[in-house]
Amino acid sequence: MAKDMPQGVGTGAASVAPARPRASGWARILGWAGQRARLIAPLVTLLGLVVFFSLTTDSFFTTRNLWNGILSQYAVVAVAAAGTTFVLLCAEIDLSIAAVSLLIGVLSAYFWVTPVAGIDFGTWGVLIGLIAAALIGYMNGYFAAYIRIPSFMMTLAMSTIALGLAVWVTQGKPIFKVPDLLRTLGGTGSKIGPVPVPVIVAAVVLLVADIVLSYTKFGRYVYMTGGNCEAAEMSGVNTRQVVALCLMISGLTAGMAGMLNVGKLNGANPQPSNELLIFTIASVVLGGTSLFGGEGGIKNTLIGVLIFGCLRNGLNQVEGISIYIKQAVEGFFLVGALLLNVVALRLERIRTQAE
Amino acid sequence: MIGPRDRREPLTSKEVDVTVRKLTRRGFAGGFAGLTALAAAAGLGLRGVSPSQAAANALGILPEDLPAKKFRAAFSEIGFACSWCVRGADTAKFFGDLLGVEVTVYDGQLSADKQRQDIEDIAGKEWDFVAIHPLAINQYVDPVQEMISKGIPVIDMDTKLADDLDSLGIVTFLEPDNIYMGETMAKALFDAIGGEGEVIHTQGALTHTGAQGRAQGFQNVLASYPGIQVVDEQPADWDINKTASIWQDLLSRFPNVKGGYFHNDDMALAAYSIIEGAGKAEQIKVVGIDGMQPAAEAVRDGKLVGSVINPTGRIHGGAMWAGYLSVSQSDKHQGGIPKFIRTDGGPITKENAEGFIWLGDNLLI
Repeated sequence: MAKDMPQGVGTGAASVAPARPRASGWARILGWAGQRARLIAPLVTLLGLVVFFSLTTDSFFTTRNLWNGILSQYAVVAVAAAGTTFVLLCAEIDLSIAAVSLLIGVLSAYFWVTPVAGIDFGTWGVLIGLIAAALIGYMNGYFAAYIRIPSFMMTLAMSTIALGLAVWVTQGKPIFKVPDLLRTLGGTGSKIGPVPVPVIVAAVVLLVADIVLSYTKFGRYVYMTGGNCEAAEMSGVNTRQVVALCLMISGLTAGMAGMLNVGKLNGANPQPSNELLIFTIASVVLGGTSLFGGEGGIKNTLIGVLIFGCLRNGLNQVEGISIYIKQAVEGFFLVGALLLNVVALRLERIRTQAE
Repeated sequence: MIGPRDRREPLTSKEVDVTVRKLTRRGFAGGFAGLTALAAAAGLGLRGVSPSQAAANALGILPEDLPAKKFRAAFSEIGFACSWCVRGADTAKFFGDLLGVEVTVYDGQLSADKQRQDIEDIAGKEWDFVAIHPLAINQYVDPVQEMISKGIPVIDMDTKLADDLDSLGIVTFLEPDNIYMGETMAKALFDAIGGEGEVIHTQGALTHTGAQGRAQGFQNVLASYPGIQVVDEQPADWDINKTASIWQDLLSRFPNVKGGYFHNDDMALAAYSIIEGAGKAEQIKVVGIDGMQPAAEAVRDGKLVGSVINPTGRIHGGAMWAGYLSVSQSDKHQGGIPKFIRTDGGPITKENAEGFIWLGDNLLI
């Protein structure tokens, strides 16, 4: 069930359609693609961007740029987006991603350089950071699911708390010593063969997330909760627990992203930036995961992150775009990509209804 | 979030009661205990020695020797998430301790709206003097006028409070020379790369007057170096993550780039990490601006070519002195405090970095 859900609800309708005359090869391919429009549409967008930037620039489709400019650079976003996918799939939202990421990054560096209560935590600070991230995420989930503070407001408040704690812990000053472990996992120069280590970390996180969502009971519950919460509850799913755990996962991945970022920048600066939040949610949605829950998945998120990465990186490779208009151009491209998604899904819906 | 959860039936009063009792037993306690533990764990490490105290100790000034607090001053800062601003606040408190001024610092949280609220709060209280580091020009004029009309001296730090400062009636405006800072570092960079090659100019926020001055300084010097080719000038808005992202992209597009000019040190150090990761630390020379301690150390260690002091000791310390001399009427200068004071600061090089680090550690520059 869950395995089929990311591809949209058209599958079930197609399976019960009455027998029809045998379609031609192209029609069958189009029919197959139509059933998977939620995945195919962003994939087409991604291929379109790759082709466009490869043809218009010399530096986009190069080994260095693909590994370091796109895959390594957006590994941090991919890790955060893996957790965000869980949250969006159950029709909630997490606005604390960037601030939690900042706090956990800062904490891991802080524990690395500063003994706390006479204890030198060293690399164990990374583990403490991960526990803190999961704890913060679970608090978001607990208050959203059990107390029923809307997740929008709860995570907004948590964002303020996390940002404030990050500034308090560091007293506003950057820390320029980070655990060697994070430098290895997040550093841009850290590689195994030609593959940057951050890419491997992101791949592992995405793979685990995909397995959980696609092949476990919990994953099915996530789709059921987001797809129709009342029906899920009547089926015996503890939807509150599902929501709380999804927000916990989001907190955990945000914390992991923060740590990778600290490794990448070789420093922890308590400087607020909502870029990670915007990139992450935009990537998940661009990939085809619904903001209203129940539809999408990690494969979509992977494609969404790549779309976003190619778009931003590609625009920086194109010559002649004024710095004053570049941001607007990026926005127009985003609208175009979203339009393609919407049109593809609408065509899929029309086709399903026709069948 | 909008979705099926919102369509649920509301809880009955009994359910609410049960829920609250359950929460009281475990949820709230557990939840808040977690956050409190997190905060406490973080706080345990902050062992109560602020830089101003550390600096006072370093100068051999014991707390009991400090004068009693005779005056009260408010300092409105742009935001504590900016390390330069934190350093400014520390400097103000340090000089306040020495001069017997009790300093209350307001954190604008990098928001003009928040800083406006801060300044309105300040205007509603009594102070001997007020110093403001404004995030936005012309947006705080009303509460500032209210303070001035009550006879409270107001000092403007670093960036302009209003286009027309003369008619606003402030005590003085202490401003660093952003154009000079830009020129100094541009020249240091161009000389370090032999006066030719590709250079990336990573700007702060385009609307920021400091960034505009630093860009102007860069352009002024560029005119004298025909061999320098500026290949990109997009702004990173003071954001280190955006800086890292831009540089990762541009290193693909411009593999032969030889220099990076940044409008502040935080951005320079973030980009240096990317450059180092790409194995191009030898090829690409980097300069920053502000002369913050980590940048001064990076210059000393040969990572950055240079940085230039944007002196909080002169700006925030100067504001403290101006306020103190104004209210204590002990100014030795005839004719009162000038309406404009240009704050000085020199370039940091590998040779002089250690001295600037010492001055900075003791909040003296």
